[in-house]
Amino acid sequence: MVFRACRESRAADLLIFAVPWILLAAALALAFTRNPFCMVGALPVSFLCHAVARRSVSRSARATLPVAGLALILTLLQLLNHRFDLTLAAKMLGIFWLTAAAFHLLRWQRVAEAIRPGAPFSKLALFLLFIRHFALILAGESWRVLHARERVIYKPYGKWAFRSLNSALVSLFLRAMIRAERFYAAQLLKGLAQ
Amino acid sequence: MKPVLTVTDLNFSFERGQPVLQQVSFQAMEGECLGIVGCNGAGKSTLLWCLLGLLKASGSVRLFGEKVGKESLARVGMVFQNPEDQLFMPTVLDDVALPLVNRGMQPLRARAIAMEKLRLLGLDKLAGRSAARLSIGERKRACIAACLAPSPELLILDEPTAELDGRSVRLLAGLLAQLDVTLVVSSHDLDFLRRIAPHVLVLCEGRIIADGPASEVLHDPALLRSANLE
Repeated sequence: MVFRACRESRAADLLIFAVPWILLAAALALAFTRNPFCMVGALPVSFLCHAVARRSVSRSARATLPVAGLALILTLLQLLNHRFDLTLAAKMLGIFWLTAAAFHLLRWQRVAEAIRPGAPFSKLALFLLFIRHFALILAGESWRVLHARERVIYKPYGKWAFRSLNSALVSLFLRAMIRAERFYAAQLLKGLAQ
Repeated sequence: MKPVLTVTDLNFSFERGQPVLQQVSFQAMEGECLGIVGCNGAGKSTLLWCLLGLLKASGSVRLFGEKVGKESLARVGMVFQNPEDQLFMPTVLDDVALPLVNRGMQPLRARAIAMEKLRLLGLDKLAGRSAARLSIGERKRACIAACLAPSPELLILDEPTAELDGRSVRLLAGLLAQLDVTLVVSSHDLDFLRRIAPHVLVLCEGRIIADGPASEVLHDPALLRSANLE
């Protein structure tokens, strides 16, 4: 009985450990696929995975809004260039849902424990931790800049509202670049960036 | 004097985390400068975010006797700890003019008022520059100018002296003393608060452990030690 329970909990543990890696592998496959049916089929599944990881459909939908906005802008830019192709937008959304779900489900403590000299997945673990760290920095910066803008914008459709939103987003990209440079310099000093 | 800001039993904790604010209650009266002092991690910035409704906390916050909402927030200015968060327009002048233009003022008139505010803060010569090309002290002053432009009745400053040199701190203290608005200033710089805030409250691990005149609170070594401020 005890052995069976142990074996079951071990299987559950293994499953919980494996799911984020499967999602990341699916995201990678989605990035390289050219089959439109695969893409269309992957979208609802990946959204479902994200909603399960976030434990709420509305929270998942809210988190998707900025990415959906960017996907829409890119599609419109393609349209301006006399090219209508939804592949990029579909891939963006699908990959976002899958990777975000994987990042929510990953056991980061275990990832950190994998960083040991000579360990087989040491470099992959380090890379994932860097990505997580940078994603958190970007999320924090976006949150602060957009709230700072909200503090001075009283009329969402008033004068300079869109101009300020545009400037805020541009400043975010510039700051992300500066943060990335500093981050890279810090890793270089630690001997980790080579 | 009327209360401008009334906070009652404010509690806040991050998701699955330790409580950051516990049973925080205080008042800021019209025209006064209230200092919020606390060591790093005491919950000062979180408290300010909660006051503006940017973080959802339990308890009650009333601005000008009303619940926190669009109308009451329109009368409040906030200078963030990191000035880079607030300056994102192409030029400093545009940053200061933005709230005025957005409220319907003609851009030309808004820019003239913004220029006045920048002159008040000694930044008129830098008006055409991008914020990225200013020093941290100049950016901080530009943020204050941007907050003062729509003539707020309450100005909240989060760690205004962080990263400033001694001269800039003196200039800032002199400037804040001249302003005719209610001020709420959070800082761990005791000398700065002694200069500008007659009323202070001490925050320690999310709780208010002292609330009273700065002349008493900031000269009590035992209290300051217990709040990890000395």
